[in-house]
Amino acid sequence: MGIKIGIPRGLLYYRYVPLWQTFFQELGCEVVFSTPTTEQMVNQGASIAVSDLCLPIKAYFGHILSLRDRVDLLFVPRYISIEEDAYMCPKFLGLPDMVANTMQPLPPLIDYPINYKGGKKMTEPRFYEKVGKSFSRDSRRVRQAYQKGLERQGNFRYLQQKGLSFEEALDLSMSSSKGPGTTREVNTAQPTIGLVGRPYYLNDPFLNKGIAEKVMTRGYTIMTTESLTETEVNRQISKLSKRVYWSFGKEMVGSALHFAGDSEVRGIINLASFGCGQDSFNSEIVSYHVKRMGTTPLLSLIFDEHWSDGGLITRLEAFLDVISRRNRKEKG
Amino acid sequence: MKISVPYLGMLHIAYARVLRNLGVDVLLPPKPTKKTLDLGTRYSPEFACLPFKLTLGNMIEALELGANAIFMPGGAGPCRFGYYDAVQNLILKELGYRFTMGSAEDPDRLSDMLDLMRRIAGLRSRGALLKLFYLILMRLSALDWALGRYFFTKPREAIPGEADRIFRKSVRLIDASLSFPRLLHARLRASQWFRNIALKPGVTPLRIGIIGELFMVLEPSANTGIDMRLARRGIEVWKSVWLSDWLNDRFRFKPLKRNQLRLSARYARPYLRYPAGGESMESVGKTVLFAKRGVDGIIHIFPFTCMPELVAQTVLARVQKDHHIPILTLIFDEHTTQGGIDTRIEAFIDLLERRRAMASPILARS
Repeated sequence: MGIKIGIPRGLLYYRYVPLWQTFFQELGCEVVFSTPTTEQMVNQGASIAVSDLCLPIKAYFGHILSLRDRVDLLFVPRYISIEEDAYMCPKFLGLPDMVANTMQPLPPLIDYPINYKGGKKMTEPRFYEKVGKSFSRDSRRVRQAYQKGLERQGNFRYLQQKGLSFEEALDLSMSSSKGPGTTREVNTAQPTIGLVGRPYYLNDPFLNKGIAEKVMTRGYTIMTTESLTETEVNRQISKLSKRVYWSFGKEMVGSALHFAGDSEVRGIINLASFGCGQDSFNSEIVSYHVKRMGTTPLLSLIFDEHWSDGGLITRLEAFLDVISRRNRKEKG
Repeated sequence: MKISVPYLGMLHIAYARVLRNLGVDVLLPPKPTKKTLDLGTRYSPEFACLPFKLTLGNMIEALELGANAIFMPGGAGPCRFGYYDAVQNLILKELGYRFTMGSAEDPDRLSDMLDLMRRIAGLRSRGALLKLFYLILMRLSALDWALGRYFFTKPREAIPGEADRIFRKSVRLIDASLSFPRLLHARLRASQWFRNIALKPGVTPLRIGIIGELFMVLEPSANTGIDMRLARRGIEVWKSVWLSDWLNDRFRFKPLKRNQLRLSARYARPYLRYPAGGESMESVGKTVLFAKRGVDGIIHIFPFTCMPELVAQTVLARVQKDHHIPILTLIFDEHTTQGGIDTRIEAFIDLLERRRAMASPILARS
């Protein structure tokens, strides 16, 4: 087997895993993922992290701790920006530095930047070219690996936008060589709830305390931020007086406004981190506009490592009660 | 149009008189107090950072006094600061205030800043705008220079209060200088005054570097005047960021001064290889630089939930070990009190004094 590349199951894993996994496998590497987030991981991560960092970063540290002894290289890319008019979170900008300075010993990191902002640009194709160089001298092979990765990544996002969950979309896009064709049958009898958040909140059931399942078992269907296309998000963002300059912030605000304007969506749940700088503003913008656009109820949940299941269920059920009462009123 | 800009260190001294001289109606809100912060906190998102809450409170006070145009620098990330203007605009409009919010698309770009100046001052010619902008920058630079002299002189002064008197006098003189020649003259005179202050012989004051987020390092109402209190206690204060240097990195008006971001990046290199927004790079780089230049300890200050400085804080844990430099981290929010800060600073100073005494018993301060 080839070199073992460790990919922590956290943060951008939830957005880019088909591309990452395909790319490295095509180059003959063995890709090792950490297990899904556990309480122990979060606790270990939190014990080495600065206390005010957000929960996803602490969990990410925990993932790295669990991986570091099992792999030859760790994939911790520096995502600075993925589009010209927006940044990633400042913590992503410093992610490899934070990792390297808090938990030695570590295997070597693959920590090249991806940056579409002026000055030192490093586009995605160039990033993969550079990463690929360390594994194969054959630049055509690297390009093909990237192309194949892109294709699967495209399928994956397409399936998510068709309403499939993260796992379903991932399985389908990684297994079948056929183009995507499946769509989920939407149960139109059930009212829809819009779930707003970043990929690593929406898709990590440990971090979000299984919110999606909790909502679904109470008889609702779910639409998430990730089920919207870039065009749909941008259409909403262009209505703002100032464009949001964080990529995920844009998705969150854009999707919340989209849900608020969609009469099928009966309620919006906004997932945010305790102490998250961006969310403090995103949530403000969301609540300001949602209030003005109509009467869609909005529930803001703030997560940290001390969240209890009970507290979440209480708030969620109160929220769903409001929605079902409104539904009954409309019908009756 | 009655314009108002929230306080940021000595910025108001730099622009107020120049703009008034041009006939601009400048409204300086009352100096921020606990009440300002309470006002700002009441209407801010819970996890907004302290500078957001303070400036929002300041805006409300200005609007109550009749201001109808508020100016904020604006920006394009990745730090939240660039988005202040948009969110504050939403909040204030919702509170029912009628005013215009002015900001620059990208405050790092000269053309955008000149455009902002044009909207404030109403001047049309680019030459006049440039002159106005650079005059304000030079005044700011002179003010920063005077404060730097003060930080050096204060712990060494032979007659208590002399440095304070000269500093206040210098600020007044700089404030009254409304042209480039007068400003140069003022600086030369102030320089003479500072040189004439009698110093205690053979004093090596304790040196503390204050690093952190720009607004917190500069604005006394945000940091409880920590720098001045340290100076009065006989400590030489070094700062990682100065507003004039920060602006000089962007607009090059001090040809002899090095680009501070690049300088910091060089020293931060082993620890932080890409700026994580805000002043993260300066915080890390200047800590290394200060440690190499013999500072006794570092105080890292930033607002609660500040994203860039959290990255810096994480990385600094390693710098602290590698360079054997004690770092005290102070995180500020609306619940911070001067008493709490002072207790921690006192303990920190005790630690630094002991360290110094143990390192070299002969040089120890009594």
